[in-house]
Parts: sequence; structure tokens; C-alpha cells
Amino acid sequence: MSSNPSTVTSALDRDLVVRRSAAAGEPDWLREQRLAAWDAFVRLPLPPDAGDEWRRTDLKSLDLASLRPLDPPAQKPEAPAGLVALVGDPAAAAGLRLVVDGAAVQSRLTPELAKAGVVFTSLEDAVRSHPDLVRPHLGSVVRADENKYRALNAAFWGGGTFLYVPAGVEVDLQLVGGTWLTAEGVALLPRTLVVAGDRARVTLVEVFGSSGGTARTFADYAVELVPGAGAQIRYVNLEDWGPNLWEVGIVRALVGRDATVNTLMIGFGAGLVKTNVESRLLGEGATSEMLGVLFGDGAQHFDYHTLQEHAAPSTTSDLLYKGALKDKARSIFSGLIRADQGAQKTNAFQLNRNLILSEGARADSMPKLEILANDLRCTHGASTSRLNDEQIFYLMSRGLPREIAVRMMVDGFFGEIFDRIPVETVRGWLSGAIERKMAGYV
Amino acid sequence: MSGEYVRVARRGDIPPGSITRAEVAGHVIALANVDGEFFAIDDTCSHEEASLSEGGLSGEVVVCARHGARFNVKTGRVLSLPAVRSVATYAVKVEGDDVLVATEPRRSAELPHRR
Amino acid sequence: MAVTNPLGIDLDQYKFGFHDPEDKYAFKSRKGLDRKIVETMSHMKSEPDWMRALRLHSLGVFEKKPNPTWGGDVGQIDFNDIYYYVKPAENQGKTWDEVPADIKKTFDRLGIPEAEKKYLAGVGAQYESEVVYHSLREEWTKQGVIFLDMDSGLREHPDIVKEYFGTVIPPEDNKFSALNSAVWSGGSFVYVPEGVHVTVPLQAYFRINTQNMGQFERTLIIAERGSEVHYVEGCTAPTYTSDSLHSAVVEIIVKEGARVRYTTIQNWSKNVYNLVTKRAVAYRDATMEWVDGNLGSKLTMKYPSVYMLEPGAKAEILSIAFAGEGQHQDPGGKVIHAAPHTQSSVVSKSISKSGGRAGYRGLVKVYPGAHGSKCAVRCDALILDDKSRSDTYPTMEIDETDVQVTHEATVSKVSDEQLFYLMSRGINQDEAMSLIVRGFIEPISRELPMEYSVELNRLIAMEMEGSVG
Repeated sequence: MSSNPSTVTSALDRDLVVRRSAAAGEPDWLREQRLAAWDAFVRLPLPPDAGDEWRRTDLKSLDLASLRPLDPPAQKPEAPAGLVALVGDPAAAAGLRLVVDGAAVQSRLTPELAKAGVVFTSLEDAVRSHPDLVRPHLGSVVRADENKYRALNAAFWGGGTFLYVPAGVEVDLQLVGGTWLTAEGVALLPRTLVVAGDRARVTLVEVFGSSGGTARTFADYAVELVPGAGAQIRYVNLEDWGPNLWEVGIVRALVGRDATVNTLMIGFGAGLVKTNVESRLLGEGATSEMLGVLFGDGAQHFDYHTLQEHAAPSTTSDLLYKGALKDKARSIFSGLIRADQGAQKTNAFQLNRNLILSEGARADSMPKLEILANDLRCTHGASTSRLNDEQIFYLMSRGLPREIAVRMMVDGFFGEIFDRIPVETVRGWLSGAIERKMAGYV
Repeated sequence: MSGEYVRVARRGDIPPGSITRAEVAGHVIALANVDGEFFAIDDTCSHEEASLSEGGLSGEVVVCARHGARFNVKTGRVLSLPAVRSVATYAVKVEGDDVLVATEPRRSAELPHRR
Repeated sequence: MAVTNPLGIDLDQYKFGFHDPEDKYAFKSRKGLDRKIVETMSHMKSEPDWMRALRLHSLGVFEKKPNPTWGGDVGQIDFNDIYYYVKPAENQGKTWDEVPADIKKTFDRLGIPEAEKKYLAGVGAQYESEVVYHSLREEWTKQGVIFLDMDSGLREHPDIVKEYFGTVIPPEDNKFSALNSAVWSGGSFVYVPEGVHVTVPLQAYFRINTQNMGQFERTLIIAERGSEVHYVEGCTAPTYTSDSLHSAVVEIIVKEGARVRYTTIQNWSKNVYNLVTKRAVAYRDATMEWVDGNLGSKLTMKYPSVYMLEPGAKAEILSIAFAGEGQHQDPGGKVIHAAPHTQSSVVSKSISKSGGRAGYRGLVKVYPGAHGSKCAVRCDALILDDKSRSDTYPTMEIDETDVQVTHEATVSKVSDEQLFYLMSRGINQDEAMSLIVRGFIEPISRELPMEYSVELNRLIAMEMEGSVG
């Protein structure tokens, strides 16, 4: 990647940033932010030179210069069947937004919630309609200069989502955002910002999918979660991208005093995923629950990098990531628990469990600890195993065909995660998706 | 299909004492000239997948540039850690000026030290 | 089986640069590292051509390799400020008075006998164990056991050394193995013939020569089929040295059905960078055990490894690390399962206090085909105050479905309840802390030879003085 990308063949240049921002009628402050991000993009190195965390996933063949950021379509497209299936029962959502190829095709919110001051809209609109809510936070949780991919997103994001819940407002039913890409050979750069006022409570489920194709397609996203004191944000990120799409993403929460963030990452699609999921517990009493479930087949490659950072006393984090791999799929789990000096009375737990279903599949696990506080409870564990032959035999001796017995055991493996997902539609999708991945496996 | 050979290089392309990278039927190989005789092994080091043809050849031993794993280019046998598996070899025949390499690898299970 | 060019190093490339090293005495006392120093060293030791070529080749590798970017901070090491061959006679004429006071005090507290104190401080000459050593030596000769310093081993058994040297840790493995391969001196050569069980542990300090506390020791241990040997080195007493870099290489080959245990306790003074590469190969039904105690040094980076290459091979790594003020212990272990039905176990106990940083860095690698293998890693860290730090960096690369690999780690402090309980029994706070810490490391310390664990307990008691948890 040359450091001077404004060559004739390149799809990315400074002018593009300015043109897109102008075309969207964005305020000056946002355009300036995007231009600063562009400068960072030019300056920052590509992996593997970007650091040790990029060592195990080979992104060399992703030619950023040739991938055009998606332009919103001229006409509002239809919601494809695939997206509808991902989203599940629309009645089960208190708010629903569907974005296809960067354009919003549907947007609704229960009137009571709108009256209570909840804002659920595109990030592009929110920048103009609610700048006082967006501007203080946008780009503050995930900064553009962290690495080249974050800079790319900060410069070119589009088709984004903004969710705001005022102080004290508790939303029981989940809000759902669905993003779908029909095109191939392009870069999709969604960005999500969730801001919850003190003691507010909300659940956001984001689902991602694409129509597939043969050309390498790229999704580079950033999700920023900002709960106020005592607030709770539950965030679900479900991706079932087509196999030609590579994802590089980040979900990060800054958790303040007595606030709680629950994240659930579901990785089933895409050819390659290199995504960070991070919680920074900055206020006393902050809590983070981090769940992850992935299922790789074919030649899929999943690389999840998590961070549980305890920067204040009496904070709690609890991480459970489970993955199943078959065929020649590969997963990498790199999870760091960090307790800064002064983070006394921290409780931190981390568990990574991998199930290998075929020869040739592989799971690498690197659970790390950096502990500078000493009055804390901190444990982590990792294991990689295969299906237990004796248990399969037992089930078969009870009359179950092998395929069913194996299916039951895989369900049992994921059961722990299911028990911790309170969103019915997500559980339903997950169950079906596991069944699809297991079809034909004996 | 056993018995098939592919023309990979001309004799003069690979002087004695040198080792070079080539591709045969989808396999990436390292082709070495040891005192006028040609030998072919897998180019991928069995340790951390570095390219053996980027290493040094001394006599019949190739040294991987990354961590120093050594292999015998005639037999593919691993001679030193950190590699623990021998590499596959490919039969080579020379016809006139052409160097031909078999498309099918042969695997060795030999280990570094004598029992 | 004659091995002519085992490491593929072109002898012609490393022909002798000069024939009459007239200023060899000047080189001896000169700092810094270059080709001439290496050639002179090899010439003075009367080494065979292949070893000189290996040294010169390794020098080239060392100069090209960059410092590692992970682990501890080695950027401060000035490679030009080291005597690579023979130090000037700094140890001769050094008197007991010149040994630092805190070292002397520790010796007293540990009850180290007078003669040993002087020896450890680099002051004394012979050590009284000379007599013990002689009679053991006769026993070993009868059995065909070879136990020599490495220089002598190369001189007297060149064929054996040539067959194995550098095959477990080649010069290119990392920057410090390259350095050691270029300038190694001293260390042990151990060869145990087929079926021989060496009942008394071989101790490093039995090799009486001035290279005992060498900076660049090279050790090679070969255990033939069915043999057994336990090798012990180091000591718990603080080992005072003005040398700032200790970079040793240990290669061990454990053949079918054999068993080797290698125990190290190091307590280098706090100015030392202790960067060691230790690796063993275990063949069919062979067992390799590393017991590693890291108490001293400014920075220790050491990851004893076992490569299990045939079915039934077993590995055990026991590691204790203690980091006090200004210390960074970065030990760990690597187990590589490259054959079916291999088993390994890693237990790491680390303690940090007064701002020290102790950790565990490890690798479990399972190759395809290593079915039926099992590995359990357990790392526990005790952080004694809020100024200190503990890191755990385990990596698991599992390429085989039919295996059991588990990893568990805990980090904790001394519990208030435990302390209270002991103190309510009339034990004062320092003693209580000491008891708790000893209990924490007990699973490993019980594997140490008795005199070591006794001294280790005394050391802990000293460290716990005045330390409030």
C-alpha cells in the first residue's frame, strides 16, 4: 500500500472525503473530523506492521486502495429476503431500521418511546437533528488514529445508526437494526453510536448480511457504546455475511460508574473476521458481560480480540466465548484482562471454549492477564476439545441416529450461551443457524 | 497421477550450491543444485511456514532463514529443531538441458536424531 | 553414523582469518565482540574447524538479528560493554571486603558456610566439595557416564558433540542463541549410556573450573535409551557478579524410555539480564522434566521447552518466579506435541512484591496427527501489594481434534482471612506471610532437592520481612 494513495487507480483520496461529506450536507465539524481521520489513514501502517495483534490474520490480500466506499443507491431498494430472515419477527421489536446498501429502507419506532425522548435514527440524520447528543461522543470511544481501519471508517462511514435513550427511561423490548449489502467488490463502512442517559436501559440488536458473490468485499465498522451512570446497554452483533466478505470491526464500551454493558457477538458468516470487542470499566461499580459464539466451516477464519479493562475499583467483567469449527475453519481468540493500578476489588472472569468437529480445523487461544492491582479475583481458562465419543455412543445406543446425537451434543456445547441470551428472536435465529451449519455432519 | 513430471527450469538457471523457488502442479517447491545434482523439496518450512528457498544451502543441507530449522534436500529429513516434521520430496529427472520435477510428493517420517 | 556437515555451515566460508594471533593477550582483556575475538577464542581453545565455523557463522546471525520486541526490555544491553572471552583478572585479588554488604548479610542469614560464601562471591578458590566430587567421578567413569565441562567435552568427545550440538537450538533460533553459539564457553556436557541410571544428581558446581559462573554457558545433555539422570544447577544464595548479561543455551536429547530432570534455581544479583534458551527433545516413552526457580536478576526471559516427537513422550514444566523491587521475571514454558499419545503438564507459580513484575509466557502447540494427547497448564500468581504486577501470556495452537488441552490461571493476593487465622494462632505477620507464600509454591518446591528447598524457605522468610500484604 503506497503512502500516497492519490494515484489515478486509487478509489480513495482526500477529495472523496470532501465530496461525500458535501453531498450529505454534513456540518463543518463532521467534515473536519473526517478529514483528520483521512490524514490518520494515510499516515498509519498496514498490518502486520500495525502490531502484534495483527500477526495471525493475513490481511495482505485486501487491497484497500481498490475498494470504493459504497455510495448510497439512487433509488430506495427493497429489503431482500435474506435480511428479513436475519431480522426475525418484526413485531418483536420496539423499533426497527433496515438499511440496504447504505440506504434506509425502513425506519420505525414505537410512539411511546418516541414521546419519551428515545431517538432511533440514521447517524447521518442524527448529526443534523441532534448534534448536541452526537457530537460529544462520536469518535470519542473509538478514535480514528488507533489504526488504519478505524481511520478508514471515521473518514468514510455511511449507513450508520444512532440510538439515544434519555435518563431514567427503560426500554424492555429490543430495538433492531438490520444492515444488508447487495453489491460486491465494495467497502461498506457502517458506524453505530448508542448513548444511554443515567439509569436508562435499552437493548439494541444489529444484524448484518450480504448477498454474496465472488469479488472480495469489505465491511469495516465501529460501534461506540456510552452508558451513563447506572445505565444498562445490551448490544447484540449478529453477522452472517456472504463468504466473499471480509470484516474488520470494533465494538467498544466506556462503562462509567455503576453502569452495565452486555455484548453478544455472533459470528457465523464472512470469509474472514478480524474484530475487537472491548470494555473499559472506568467508573466504580461498572460491569461488563461479554459473550461470543462463533461457528466456522469451510475455510472461514475468525480472529476475535477482546479486552476487559478494569480502570476503577469494584468493577466486574465476565467473558464467555464459545466456538465450534468444522472442515478447515480456523479461529483465533486473544483475550486480555487488564487491571490497572488502583483497580482493587476487581472481579474478572474469562472463559474460552472451542469445539473441533473436523480434522483440519484449528482453534488458537491466547487468554492473557496484565494485573497491576492485587486485591482482586481474576481467573481465566481456555480449552479446546472434540466431541466425546462415549457420549455419542451412549446416545446412539438409545436409538438416536449419529447425526442427531452429534447435533444434541453441539447444542449442549452452546447451551451455556443460549441460557444467557434474553432475546428470543436471537435465540431462534441461532438455533436455526447451528442446525444449518451442522447439516450433513456425522 | 503418479509418474507425471513437469518441466520446471533449465539446468543453467540454477547454479551449483543454489536453491530456488518454483511451482509444480499447485505445490510450491524449493529446487536445489547440489554439486550438479538436482533435488526438490517442499518450499514451506514445517515449523512456521517460512520459505525455505529464502534460506541458505550448504552441501545437501538447507537452513531456514527464520529460525534455523535444517532439512536435508535429498531426503527431506528434518535435521534440527524448531522444525519437527520432515518435508516432502519430489523426484527430479534431468533430460538434456531441462530439469523436470514429479507432481506427486513423497513424505518422510524421519526425525532429527538417531534413536 | 558419521555426520560431516550437520548444521549446513560452509567450512570454506569461515577459514581462519589470521595465523599468528600475536596480540592474543590484548584480545583477552578487550571488551566488545567481533570476528577476531571469536577466532582467537576458538584458537585458544584448540577447537576443530567445524566449531570455529559454527561460531563465526553464528556471529553473523547475531549481528543481523534485531532485539525481540516482546517480553522484557533488552534495549539497555550494551553488547560492546562486555568481555566475551576472558575477563581481566578482576576476580583475582578481589577481597571479601569488596563484596557488597547486602550480599554478605544474605549469606549470613542463609547460614552459608564460610568457604561457600567466598566461592559464590567470586572471591575464593577451591571449594570443599572437591573430595566428594572425586569419588563420584570414579563411579561415573565405571558406568560410562560422561560429565565434563563443555570445553572438555568437545575436546574429548568431538564426534558425539558434533552429532547433536545446535540440533535442538540452532544459532538462528533467536538473537541470544546466536550470541551464545558464537561465544559460548563453559557449561556442561553430559552423556548417559543406554540403560544407566545415575542415582546422585549431577551438580553444576562439581565441575571445578573458573568458568562456573560463565555468562555464556552451553550445556548439552544426551540420555540414551532407558537411562535416567537428574542435573542440578544454580543456587538459592544470591550470586553476585558484575557481569550484566547471562545468556546460556541448554540442549537436551532424551531418547526412548529415558528420563531427564533438569533443575535450576537462580538468584542472580539485580544487575543481571538473564536470557536463556533451554529446550529438550523427548522421543518414544521418554520423560523430560524442567524445574525452574527464578528468584534474582533484573530481567529473566526463559521458556524451558519440551518437543515431544514420538508417542508416549511426556513433559513436565514446573516454574517458580519471584519478582521484587526493580525486577522483571518473564519465565514460562513451551510444550510441543508432535506425536500421538503425548502428555504434558505445566505448573507456574509467580509472586510479585514491592513493584516487581512476574509473569508466565507459554506456548502449547499440538501438531496434526498428535491425537490422544493431553496437556494441562495451570498458572497461579500472587501479588503481594498494590505496586506490583503479574502478567500471563499463554498461547494455544491446537491443530488436532482428538486432544485435551486445558489452561487455567488465577491471580490473587494473600487473603485477609488466611492472615488473620494464622495471626490469631500467635504467629506474627511476617511469619504468617512467609508461611502462606511457602504454601503457595509448595507444589513445586517439594520437587526441589532438599537443601535447595530449605534455603528457598529461608529466603522467602527474609523477603517477607516488613512486607505487609
